[in-house]
Amino acid sequence: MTPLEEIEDLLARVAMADRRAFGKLYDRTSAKLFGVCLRVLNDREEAEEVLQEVFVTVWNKADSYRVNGLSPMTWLITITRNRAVDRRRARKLPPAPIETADLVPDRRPGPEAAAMARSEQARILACLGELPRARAHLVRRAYLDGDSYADLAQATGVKLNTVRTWLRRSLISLRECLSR
Amino acid sequence: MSRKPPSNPPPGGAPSADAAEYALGLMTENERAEFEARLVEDADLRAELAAWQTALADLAESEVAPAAPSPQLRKRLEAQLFAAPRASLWQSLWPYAAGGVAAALVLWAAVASDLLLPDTPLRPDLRSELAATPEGGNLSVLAAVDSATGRLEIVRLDGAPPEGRVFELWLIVGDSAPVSLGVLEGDTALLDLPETRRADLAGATLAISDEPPGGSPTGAPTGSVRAAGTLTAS
Repeated sequence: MTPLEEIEDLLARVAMADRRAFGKLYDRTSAKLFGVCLRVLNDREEAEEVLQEVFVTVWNKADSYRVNGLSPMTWLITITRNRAVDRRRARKLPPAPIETADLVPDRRPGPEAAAMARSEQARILACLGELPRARAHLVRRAYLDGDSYADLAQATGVKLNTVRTWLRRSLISLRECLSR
Repeated sequence: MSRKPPSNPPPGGAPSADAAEYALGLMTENERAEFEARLVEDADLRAELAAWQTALADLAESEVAPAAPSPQLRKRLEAQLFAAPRASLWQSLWPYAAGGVAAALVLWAAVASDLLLPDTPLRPDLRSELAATPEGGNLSVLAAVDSATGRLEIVRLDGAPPEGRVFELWLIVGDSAPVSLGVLEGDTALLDLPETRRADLAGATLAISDEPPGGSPTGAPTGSVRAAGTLTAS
C-alpha cells in the first residue's frame, strides 16, 4: 500500500468509528497538519487547539472527502489550513512585514525548478517559479500564512484593489501553468 | 480609450481565479455566498475548486515543515471524542449513495460550510474485515454492526464484481443457511438487519457472492463466494 492508499484506508475505517485506525491516522498525519497550523498561527498553544478541532472533525466526517472529490491528504490539509486561518482572523493578528528581498522581481525558473516539475506534487512549485518572485510570494503568503487582501495591502503598502488585481492575474497564470 | 483592469474584478469574469480566491479564503462574505451558490449548480466550477485545493495542499505538503504536537494533545483528543457517542457519517452519505443528486449537493454544501447534518449516533460493537477468497481477486470490504439497532454499515475498499454480475451480501449464523442481506450497489451501504436476525451476531459470518443482476434468483447463493469474514466484538 502506498502512503496515500494507507491514509485512504485509515479514513475509511475511521468513518466506521474504528478507534485504532483513528490513532494510526493521527500518528501518520498530525506532524504535517500541526506544521500547517503553526505556519499560520505562529503559536504552539493556538495551533494545538486548532489541530484538536481538526481531528474532531475528521472523526465525525471522515468520509466527506469522497463526496467532494479530494484526495485524503488534500482534504486533511484543506480543513486544517482553513481552520487555522479562521482562528488567525478571529484573533485579528497583524500580518508579518514583507521583506524587500521577497519582492525583488527576478529570475526565470532555474534548472532545479524544471527538475522538480517532473514530480507531480512539486508541479505547483515549478509553476510558482515561473511567476515573478514577488507575485509568487504573495500567493504563498495568502495560502501558507493565511494573509487576507487587507493583510497583503498593509504588508506591501499597496492599495487593496491593486493587490487583488495582481494576485488574480498571478493565479490565472499559475492555473495555465498547472494545466499544461 | 485605455483599457484599465477592473479595480474590483466581478465574480464570473474568470471562474478559475474565483475558485482560487475561494480556496485561499480571500473573498468577502457576500462574494463567498455568491460563489457557493454557483458551486451548487456548476460541476466544472467544483472541479476547478478541487484542482486548486489539490495544488495548494501540494504546496503545503512540499514547503511546510512538519512539527510534532505535544503528546498531551492526543490524550485530550481521545478524552474528548471517546467519552461521547459520535454521529455516523454513512447516514449523511446515504442519500448520495442512493443517487439523489440534489441531496448530494445539499450534503456537499454542508461539508463545504462545515455544518453537521443531524444524525442519530451509530455505535458499532461488532466488526468484520471481509477477506477475498481465491475467486475474489482484490475484493476488500469492511463491515460494522450496531447490534442494539440492527444497523449494518458496509464499505467496499477495493474490488468490483465481474462484468454483468452484482455483489450480494449474506449472513450466516451458526449452522443456518445463508440469509441474503441484499445486493450491494456502490461503495457503501447502510442496511437494517431484520429483527429476527439480530441475535447471535458475534461469531456470525458475512459473505459476498457474485450473482446475476437483481441478485440470486433462488434465495441462496448461486455464484462464487468472493469474500468472507467473521463478526467479532470491537
